[in-house]
Amino acid sequence: MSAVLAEATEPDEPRPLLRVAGLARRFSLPRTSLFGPRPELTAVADVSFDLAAGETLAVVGESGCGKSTVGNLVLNLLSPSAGSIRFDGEDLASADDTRWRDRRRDLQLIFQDSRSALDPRLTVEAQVAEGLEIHKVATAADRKIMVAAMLEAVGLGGDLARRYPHELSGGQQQRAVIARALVLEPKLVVCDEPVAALDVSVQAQVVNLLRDLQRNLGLAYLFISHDLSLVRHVADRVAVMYLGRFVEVAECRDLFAAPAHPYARALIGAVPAARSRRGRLVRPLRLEGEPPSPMNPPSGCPLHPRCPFATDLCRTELPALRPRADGRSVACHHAEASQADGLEAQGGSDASQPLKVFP
Amino acid sequence: MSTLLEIRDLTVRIDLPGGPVFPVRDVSLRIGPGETLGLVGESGCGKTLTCLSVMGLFGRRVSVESGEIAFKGTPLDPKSRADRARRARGMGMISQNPMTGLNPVRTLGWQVAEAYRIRTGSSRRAAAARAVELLDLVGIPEPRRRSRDYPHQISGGQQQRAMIAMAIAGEPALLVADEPTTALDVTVQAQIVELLSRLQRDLGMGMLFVTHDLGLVAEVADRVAVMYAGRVVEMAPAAELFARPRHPYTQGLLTSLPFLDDEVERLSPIDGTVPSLRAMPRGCAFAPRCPHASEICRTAVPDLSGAVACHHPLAVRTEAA
Amino acid sequence: MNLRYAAIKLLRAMITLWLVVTFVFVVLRLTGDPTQQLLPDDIGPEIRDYYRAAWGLDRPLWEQYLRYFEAALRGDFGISFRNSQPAIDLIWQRVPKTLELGLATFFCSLALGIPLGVLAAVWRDSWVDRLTMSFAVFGFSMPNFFLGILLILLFALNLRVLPSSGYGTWQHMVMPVFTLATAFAGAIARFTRSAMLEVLSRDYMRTAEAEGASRFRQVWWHAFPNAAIPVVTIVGFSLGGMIGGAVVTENVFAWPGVGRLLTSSVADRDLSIVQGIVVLVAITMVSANLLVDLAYGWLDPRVRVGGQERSR
Repeated sequence: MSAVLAEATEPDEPRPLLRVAGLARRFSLPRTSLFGPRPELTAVADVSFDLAAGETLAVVGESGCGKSTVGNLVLNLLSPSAGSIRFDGEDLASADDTRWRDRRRDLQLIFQDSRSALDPRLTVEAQVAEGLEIHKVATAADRKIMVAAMLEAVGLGGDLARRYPHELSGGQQQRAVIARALVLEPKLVVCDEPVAALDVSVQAQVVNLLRDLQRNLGLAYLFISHDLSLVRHVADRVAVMYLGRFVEVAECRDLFAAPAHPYARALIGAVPAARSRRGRLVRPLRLEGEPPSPMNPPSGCPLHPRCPFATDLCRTELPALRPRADGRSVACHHAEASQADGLEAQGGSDASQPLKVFP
Repeated sequence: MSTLLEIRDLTVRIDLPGGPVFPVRDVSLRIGPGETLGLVGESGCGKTLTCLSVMGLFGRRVSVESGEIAFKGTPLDPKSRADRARRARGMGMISQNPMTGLNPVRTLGWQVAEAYRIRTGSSRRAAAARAVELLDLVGIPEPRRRSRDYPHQISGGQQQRAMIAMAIAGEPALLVADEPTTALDVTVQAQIVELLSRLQRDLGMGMLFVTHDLGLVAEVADRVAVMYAGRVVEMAPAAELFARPRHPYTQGLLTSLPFLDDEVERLSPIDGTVPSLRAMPRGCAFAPRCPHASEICRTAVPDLSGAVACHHPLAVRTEAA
Repeated sequence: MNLRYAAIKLLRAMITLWLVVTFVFVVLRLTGDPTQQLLPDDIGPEIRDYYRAAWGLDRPLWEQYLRYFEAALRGDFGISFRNSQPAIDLIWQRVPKTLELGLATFFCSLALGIPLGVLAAVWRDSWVDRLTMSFAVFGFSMPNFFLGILLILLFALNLRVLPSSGYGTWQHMVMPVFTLATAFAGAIARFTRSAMLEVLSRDYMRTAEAEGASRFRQVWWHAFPNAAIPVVTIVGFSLGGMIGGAVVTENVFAWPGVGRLLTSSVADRDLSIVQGIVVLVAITMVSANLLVDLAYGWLDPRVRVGGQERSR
């Protein structure tokens, strides 16, 4: 009863479909000395977020930042070292096998390499039907109808349905993967770089498909990508990840208009000016060097060795991901300075380009 | 403008078990000294093969079917030993993946020195000293120490810097960069692009910059050639190309990419897929995917007269999505 | 990193050896009571018991094992049943002769197999390639004993240019070494070829070509150091096949080596000598593998220096 009351006090915030709290994952590595302890690598540290039904949360960051690990943890393909994942109010890590297998239907994955995701010996039709058979959904006759409808929806109807994966183009293979994931009518789909392997002209087809299906089926997406213009297009909210941690979580529009964390600004500023209609959105921020190895992360704020705003405080104290008044959460000691600096159009190399001012 | 590199009607042939295919057809390009020509297109459009032809790197079964490549006004014979040396001294190449482009069992210093020594014939000692200078020039910190490192000991960005050091070791007049930043992280990409522009300015190099990233090519290139299914379909100054694309394919590429500051419900993709080399349409290769295609498009290949190879070029920029 | 790698490999080699020595003990005990096999069938049980006690067979199994193991550590494998000398002495007398044959074969095979393999890869699909690969197939599909007999027929009996068998001059070595080396060189050539083909298709070879490196330089300075890594592995591992081949070849050419001693001892049921040879062969194999591992670590900088401290 009290839970209901608690929810009632926050009418704007529906109960999340997915609630992740304090999630962490460490990997132990081979010993470096004969008798020393095994070194550990922290791939994901203290990650918390909510995802509502029908919502898209994008996780962006560079290779090795831990974004795919977050996806695997949510899908329970990896077990967390700490933290909890509640799906529809249920703790999945503690669910027993049968319960978990049951819930498996609601959580699906679409990842980059569609060729390896498909069984080369099964036709597209058979691949899509397989999930329904495993979960014993409906009668055989109904299953047939469901498969046909799903394949039609992803544009693989008719003759294409009876082909084998190698007879399809890359875009069509990815459509087959999508059909196989969505025919089970999941509530949440983890999309791990779903179009990165496709050609530009085909990417747009698949992105449109993903959005249409989301609208029609009420899906929630956890959308993992390194392509910022894609993220800008599909996401409702964006989490920027660096070295295993969320450094900024914000509404998509707010983030791209005025990123607060220096790393978010560096990412957005690195997108070529031609990728936005009105030139650069923020003044580019050049970071020094390259992301450090997660095996020996820097002290304090993980970005401090590369960050022009870094002070002594950053070198010693890890900034917490704090919610701000404007609705976003930022983990930076100098977010205000960075944000203001990013919006200053004067003096930059793109001074001729008008600054985009958001309301 | 004098010409550094001129490719005339290049057609490249690959002999496969099922018969020959021609992944590059009638390609003509020209690069002036100090100029950057961007070459964009999707995977399989023939852009990498064009690069390799310029460098004279024909693998087994690959050969020039027709056309020629002239460097500083003199045609290059792919089989001539003297021309091979001329190429090596005048051109440098950077490829997409620095990890596989570097020899895993040789130190960075050895590899850069080797690149310098082969081209200049200098002594071992002089080459080793020059290698350290070159590593310093491309922004590798502590170059003397790093020169003793192996490729696997340094990060991807540093590896690409080392590749660049090798490519510019002979102070080439032309740098061929095949997707030099694709394998790198976003924040590192910008550093490498900046490095390339600086080196190009300082050394006065012409550059053939190949990429699939339209946004990137807009920042780097003076002129841009768009390739589709083995042919150049449009050629224009970079700013012009983005403001007023004239080939429906170029326009399709531009509109199928989401813009950072656009709020659109749906993207406007190009329908269908790239035709396979074995089943090239008879006329314009883009006709089956083109909304403007007419009868002539299906029978006659349009030539690149002026700047666009299209029977129905777009007059003005149509309202994109 | 380097030392740790070597230490682990050494530890592994020791464990393997211990397992082999133990295995020999177990097999000998499993095959039944040695007194049954060695003593005549018609003697009385008291004589049998006497021998049992003398050979320590009446002791508990673990004690027998400890005694055996301790003796094996000293190199003591018992007294030869045939001529009452310590087995180890008899074996040691033969070792230099087998070593002579083995080393000659080893170097001939490398000197022949590696260049042929490299050339076959460089001129892929040419007549050099086809000839080399035909030679390789001939080499390892031809049984040693058969090739040996053919050689004897041709060179010793018909042409009379080489001695048919025996030991002494360099002429005696020609045919046995040739017989053994054809198989070994064939395998090395084939493996070198495929390793080289793999390396030649790598991006860094294109880098070298773009630099204008001569073909010779590309092959020997850039490609070969990479191809050598897997070749070393296969050379070490095919040593076992060479030992097997040596036993046969020594018999065909009456070469007075360890292989011949082994066959005659097996025929005479001279267990101490067989046991000693098995352990010796095991030591040879294990050391060869250890050498391969160490060479591997030395040739491949990814193993030698590790990649843990990436620079930033």
